Amino acid sequence: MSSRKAILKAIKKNKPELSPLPEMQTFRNDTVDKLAYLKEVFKIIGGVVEEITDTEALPEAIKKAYPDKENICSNIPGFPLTTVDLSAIEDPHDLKDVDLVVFNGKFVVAENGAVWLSERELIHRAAGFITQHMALIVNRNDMVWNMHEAYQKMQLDRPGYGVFVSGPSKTADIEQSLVIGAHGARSMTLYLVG
Amino acid sequence: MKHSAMKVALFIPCYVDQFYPQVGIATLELLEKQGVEVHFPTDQTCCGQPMANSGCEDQGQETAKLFVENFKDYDYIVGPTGSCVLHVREHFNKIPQTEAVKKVRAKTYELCEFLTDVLKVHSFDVSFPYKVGLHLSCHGQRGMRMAQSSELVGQDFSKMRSLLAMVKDIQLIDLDRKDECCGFGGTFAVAEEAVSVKMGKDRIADHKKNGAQVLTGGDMSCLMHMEGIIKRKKEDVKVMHIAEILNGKTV
Amino acid sequence: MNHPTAAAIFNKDELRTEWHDKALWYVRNKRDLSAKSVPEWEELRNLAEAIKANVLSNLDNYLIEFEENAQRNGIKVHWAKDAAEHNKIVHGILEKKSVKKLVKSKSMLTEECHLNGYLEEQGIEVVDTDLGERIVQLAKEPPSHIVMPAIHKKKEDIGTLFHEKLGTEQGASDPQYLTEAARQHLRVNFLSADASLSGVNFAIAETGGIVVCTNEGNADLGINLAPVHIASMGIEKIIPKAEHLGVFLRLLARSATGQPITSFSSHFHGPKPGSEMHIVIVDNGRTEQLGREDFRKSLNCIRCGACMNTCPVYRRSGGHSYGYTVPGPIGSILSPGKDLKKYSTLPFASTLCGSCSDVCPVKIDIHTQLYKWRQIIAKEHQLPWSKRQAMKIAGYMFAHPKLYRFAGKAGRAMLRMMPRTLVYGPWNAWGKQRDLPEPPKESFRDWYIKNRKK
Repeated sequence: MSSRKAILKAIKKNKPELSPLPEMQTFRNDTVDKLAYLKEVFKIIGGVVEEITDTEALPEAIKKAYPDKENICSNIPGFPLTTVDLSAIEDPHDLKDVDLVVFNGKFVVAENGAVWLSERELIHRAAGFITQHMALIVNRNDMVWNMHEAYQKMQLDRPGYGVFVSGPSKTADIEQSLVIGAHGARSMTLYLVG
Repeated sequence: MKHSAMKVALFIPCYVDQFYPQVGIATLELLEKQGVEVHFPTDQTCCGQPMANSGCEDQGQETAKLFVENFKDYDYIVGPTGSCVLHVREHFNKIPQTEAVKKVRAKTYELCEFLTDVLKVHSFDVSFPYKVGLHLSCHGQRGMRMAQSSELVGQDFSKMRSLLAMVKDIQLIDLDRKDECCGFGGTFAVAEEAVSVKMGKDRIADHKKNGAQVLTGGDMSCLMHMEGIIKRKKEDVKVMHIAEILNGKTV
Repeated sequence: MNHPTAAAIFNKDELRTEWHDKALWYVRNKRDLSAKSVPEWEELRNLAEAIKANVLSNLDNYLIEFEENAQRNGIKVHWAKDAAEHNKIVHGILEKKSVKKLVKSKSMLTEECHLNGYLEEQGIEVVDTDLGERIVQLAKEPPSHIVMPAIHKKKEDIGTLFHEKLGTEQGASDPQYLTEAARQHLRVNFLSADASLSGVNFAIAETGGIVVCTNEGNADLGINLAPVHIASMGIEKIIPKAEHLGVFLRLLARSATGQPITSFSSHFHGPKPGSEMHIVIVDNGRTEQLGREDFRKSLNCIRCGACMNTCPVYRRSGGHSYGYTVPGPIGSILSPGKDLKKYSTLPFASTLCGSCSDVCPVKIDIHTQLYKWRQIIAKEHQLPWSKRQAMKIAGYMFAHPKLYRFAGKAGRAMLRMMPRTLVYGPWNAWGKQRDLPEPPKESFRDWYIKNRKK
């Protein structure tokens, strides 16, 4: 018997009587000030939130926050700070010297500061991880309260990859001391526009 | 039911009977002061928990049956222990579930729970002018939900703390870790001696750090363990069962 | 070595024990704050429990659904009945691609299968990329915690280790500095790896994809660069639908570290262009556990580690004292099912305080299962002879009131008469660091008969 068959057979034999799936809830919260909450959360997750009303001012703001960055990629067509064209790169290993990525994210979750980026936004899956720094742009209207709402909002399986990014890469594996910048981005700034 | 009409049996755990008669006496007197008629079935021994927690549930079945035989004719069974009471309620499930067994399981109460939920006591005419640290024993705490456990999210409450707060002049201290286990754990205390003692030491240190002059709680077993360490280390903390304080004993 | 022996050794260095206890209590505290910031926390736990109950009751169908959808997504699905088969499958995939170097993110399953040693014997270099995992790998130790693998190590220990293995400055122990050194060292490995392997936090039947959660971003860096990705998952990682992720991702990180969510929650629904993605579905004793009515709920576990952080015994004995891949309370209910004799002391490494059950985000009745394993261990004669005999005698005595009273009286009299040196001999484990209570002349019953029975 194949292992597949053997495992499925064993499960069928050993599983308990069918227990129904619970009705899902979304725990809506219409009274919470999502923006204020998000700002507090960002302090915990080690990121920075900037509010920019005028989209035109964005390149300047990013340049100010990240001066002297040479290799900059973006998924925004014609973004003025771009120095490396992501779509021209074939092998993701060639992204190893990227200093900063500037990505439009799909939406942000207020309760935990997570920004959704799918493969469509990232262009290369590795781009959001191999970079030294990360600037994400989300329209302030694209903010949901919690993860239940978040999963209602998206199609998960197309394209083949997507990630919630909540702050920069970090670790506390040495004596519980929080260190920002483990393997991935050393900083993450979220620009809320609109 | 009026207090005077209740037929209450006093359940005194074996080690309290043998080593802490004063706790039994305090429990009895405390209940009597509430106008309750208290009986002590004199053939009682143990609830069977030591055997069961060691994995030998079977060896405790006769003891459990004897317990039911001793206590089946009372309206309530009250004992100064959360641990043994929890054992009666939860683990008397392996003997045949006769009406008597079912009744005993449902009617066995921990002392403070009984004072709070059944007698609905609102005051004690006693004074205890000391700084008191309350140790919440796990079986009463998480097993019987006598206080909100720190892991759960919800409204804070504590039946024991509320009762102690009714005592005049008492100063209840706050602990850094309000419901961490003391490390007694029955045979754990000897089988895992090193960890058990370390847990006890850490609890005592928390009480001392926060200024406790008296360490109290609802289970003499936990208190026996901590008192043993206190005595050995000649620490300056007095250990008393909560029944003694509520009954007006002084230090 | 059994748990009490290992724990006693751990406790010899009392200051270090205190340091270990405090480090984990700090995490438990962060978890409390985080949980309490979610008013519907208990409802989320109830939902998670109910979803998991449904999963276990329909697991075969969900696995079939998952496989079908994963294949449609271009993922190759493999099945392994045990650790050996899992390792063989992984090696087969790597061999086909002539892989020399594999980068791995955290996977307790591969620890359980002892994959690293197996692959190294086949000449494949395995680099663990989670910082904590890398630390214990370099130290040639198993992880001592499932979320914080190197929690037992002080920064000075890690400084010495990195000096030896990575050439950091001698005596340097600043976490920032050491982490940066690991970053540089691991970047080289990420860029030169031929394949990556990850664990699976959740596998979604409905969509045929998996979710991997990390803070460091190491899983993604490995997977998204290397041309081959292998994901190893236990059969119980299945959840029915994508919407259920809402529940589990809200619970997982808050329970594990107190963060509102991990830095990266990555959803893989197929290989990146030009590469391969494999999923190995592993049984290795799980179907057997599913068949044990009293213990199947242990398969709810989402490996958050909260029961370790909260366990007063774990905090004061360290993960290595358990001698099993998954230490702490959850490990103590999983391990006896694997080898009852070998792990017979683990269900006793608990006071049954119940903190583990209350902290568990998927509501596993851990302390009740510990109690139940104890009964089985005693029945299967895996208790020490002396303990079994003592319980037999106690059981008899407590069933016979006169004998109980006689023994009590005699015992107290003896304690009063015996010289202290005799009472506190080496046979008295209680008395090693604790005094016994003063034995009174009168039992409560004696007093009662004298004072109340007229």
